Amino acid sequence: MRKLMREVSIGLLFLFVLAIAVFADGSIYSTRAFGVSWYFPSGQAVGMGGVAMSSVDSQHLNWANPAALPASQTVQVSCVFLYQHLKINSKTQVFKTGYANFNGVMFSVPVHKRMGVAFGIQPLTNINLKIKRRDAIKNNIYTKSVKSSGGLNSFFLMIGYRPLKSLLVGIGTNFIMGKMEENWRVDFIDSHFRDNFDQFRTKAWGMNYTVGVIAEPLPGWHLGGIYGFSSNLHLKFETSYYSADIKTSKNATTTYPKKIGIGTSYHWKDRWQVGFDFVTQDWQNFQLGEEKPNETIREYRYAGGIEFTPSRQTHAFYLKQISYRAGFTYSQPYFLGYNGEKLHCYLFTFGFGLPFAHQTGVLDLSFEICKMGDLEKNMFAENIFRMVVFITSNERWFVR
Amino acid sequence: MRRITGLALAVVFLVWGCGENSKNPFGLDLLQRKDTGSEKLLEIKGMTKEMTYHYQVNVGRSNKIMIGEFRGLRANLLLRFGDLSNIPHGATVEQVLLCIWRYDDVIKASDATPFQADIHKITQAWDDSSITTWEEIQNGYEPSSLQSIQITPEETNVDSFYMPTDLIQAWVDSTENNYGILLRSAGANFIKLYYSKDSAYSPRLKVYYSTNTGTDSAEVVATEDTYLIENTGSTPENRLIVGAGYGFATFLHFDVNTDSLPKGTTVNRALLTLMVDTTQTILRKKLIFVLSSIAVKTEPEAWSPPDISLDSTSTSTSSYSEPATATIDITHLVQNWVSQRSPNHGLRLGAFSDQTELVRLSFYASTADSTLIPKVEIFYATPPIK
Repeated sequence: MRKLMREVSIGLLFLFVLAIAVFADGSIYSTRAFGVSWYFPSGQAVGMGGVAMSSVDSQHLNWANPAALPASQTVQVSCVFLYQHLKINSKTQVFKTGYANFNGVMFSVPVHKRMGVAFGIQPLTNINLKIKRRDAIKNNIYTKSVKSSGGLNSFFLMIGYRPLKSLLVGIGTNFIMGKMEENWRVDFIDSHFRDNFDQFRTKAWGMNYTVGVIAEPLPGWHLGGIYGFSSNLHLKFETSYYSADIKTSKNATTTYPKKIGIGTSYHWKDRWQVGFDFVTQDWQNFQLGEEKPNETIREYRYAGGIEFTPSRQTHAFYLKQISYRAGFTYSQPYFLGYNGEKLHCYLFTFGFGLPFAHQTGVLDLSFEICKMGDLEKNMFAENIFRMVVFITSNERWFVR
Repeated sequence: MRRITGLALAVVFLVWGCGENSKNPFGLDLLQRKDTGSEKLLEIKGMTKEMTYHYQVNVGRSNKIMIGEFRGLRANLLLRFGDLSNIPHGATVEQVLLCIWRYDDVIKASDATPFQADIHKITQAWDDSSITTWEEIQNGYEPSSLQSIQITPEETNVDSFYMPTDLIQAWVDSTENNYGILLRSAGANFIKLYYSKDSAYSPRLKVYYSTNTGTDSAEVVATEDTYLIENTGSTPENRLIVGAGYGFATFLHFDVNTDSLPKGTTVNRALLTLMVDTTQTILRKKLIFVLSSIAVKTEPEAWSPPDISLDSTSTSTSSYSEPATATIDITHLVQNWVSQRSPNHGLRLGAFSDQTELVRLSFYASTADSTLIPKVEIFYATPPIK
């Protein structure tokens, strides 16, 4: 227990130092709907292009499919850090920015050799964009800026059960909550001027359920899938014109769409793993209160990935204990580009699983190189580089 | 080893990340909001209604008194030394000196020259806490002067003047009612300010007297003092006035078309600019005159001073020290009108400290030349709409 806490503390300190290093802008598309969706199912999956639907691994927490929980017989704590570097291209300008933050934490306990439970929090979408303009009225210089921030988060509780040796099932409940803010400011240089501060804030909350299943029809071959039920999402829109002292708010309900994911993976000689996933969520009928934004569509994600671990032995040469991963994802985001055209996202990943403390913990270092949008069709094209760090600690608490 | 690796990575990212905070160059239109708001300037020239009115001011509790005349206002100084008990009964008053301490600077033009002030005996009772106008005392003093003194525009610390001993003797002997004295200028072109009894430097009489046992002196501190302003000039046409000491307030109304402005509009700054007639201005050099603007509740059509109700919750103040223009910040008031928290029935422009100073600000009305008329500049920002 003490060892676990020490490792977690070191991990949190490490992530904290990294998290405060940068905090700048996110994607130019992050002001669309609820923001850019993020999908980091596990430290292993991120390096494999996001393959997680059928992934059964004792050293990694799989957030995407609750059926995977009984695979681990250890108490696991996993926390995530994300660093993102963006190069946003328009026809006239190029803009570079970065973003860094914690990206979730999860805790799982094997309550029985056939059953595991887990809970944690993870972001579903992210909004982070700041736009500034400098201007003047009659030689009085001011800066007008908009800062969008927030996103949806999920606080989840999952339970997984292995009724048969080759069958795992699971159910998860997600309390979805989020706050999305858009802060508009007009700041004059001359302090005699009153500055503007107007704010649009949307609060969202709701609960949905996900069921999952993973089967092993043949040794080493896994089939998996999830079904996330659609649910009501409560919205509260608040508008505050602070200088004019006007505040309004209204409530609405929308539907958080169902999510379907299927996948397959094959393990060979305990060294190789290869897998494929397909995940979709239909945002086509999404409404923000009474208004239909006309900027949301069905989201698709096709992923394929491979992992190679030379040795599982703790006494093996360290480089042989490392897992080497690579993957590819093609996805169509749930929002349209600024001119109403569909966006396409091509993502290449590679990563390493770096075991530590005699393989009781693993630091998964994954890198994503992504191209989203087309300059001609979507006005903007983004080149994205991400580094996703998972620190997972495994410890046997309940073994006598 | 793990910790060193982690720390090294953190340092790398710290350096890397800090170099990335460049400004996003893309425009606000990117957000595709219904309205991204706009920043504009509205200029209003001339008022739809304006008027100046004079009101009574009691300055008896001011820490200053004054005497002289400047640009049509004459300050008549009233002093009463009601407590002569420290002069023995039966004493013979030999000589009396009035000592008064100069207050700050002098209200004057560059050509100020000494003037004579006549000392008159006041023949009626008065109270400095209630007397407000010259008319209340103008028939209450002996017209014939007891004595004259010379007031100089120099900024001496203390001025001392010989007082008529017969009058003080009569007060000591109680053969005359002690209503004090009036110091009234003739042909002055400046006003000199002194500390009043409501300060640390009270005016006082130094009375030299003799008794059977010899000669002695006593100080007698003023028990009442004030100054009463007499209007000796006339106001030119097309002028509006704000004044302290001799109260003037001006009511102004201008149209702000609030219907054309969205309700969430922010008034970043609203300035009322008045062109000052410097030939009519009365202002000490060391004084920064503070103007107060108060929103008016009474509709302009029903303005009938002094029966005009004011909204004391909607006020602002501005300082004036420049001679050519007075710029008054009325942002708060205009914001209330634009936000429709209160109707635009105009504003009252007055002096913030009208019971302690003597100031007059005369500015051109809307009927004057178009380059001189009052002007309002409203810098505002319409709100974004999501």
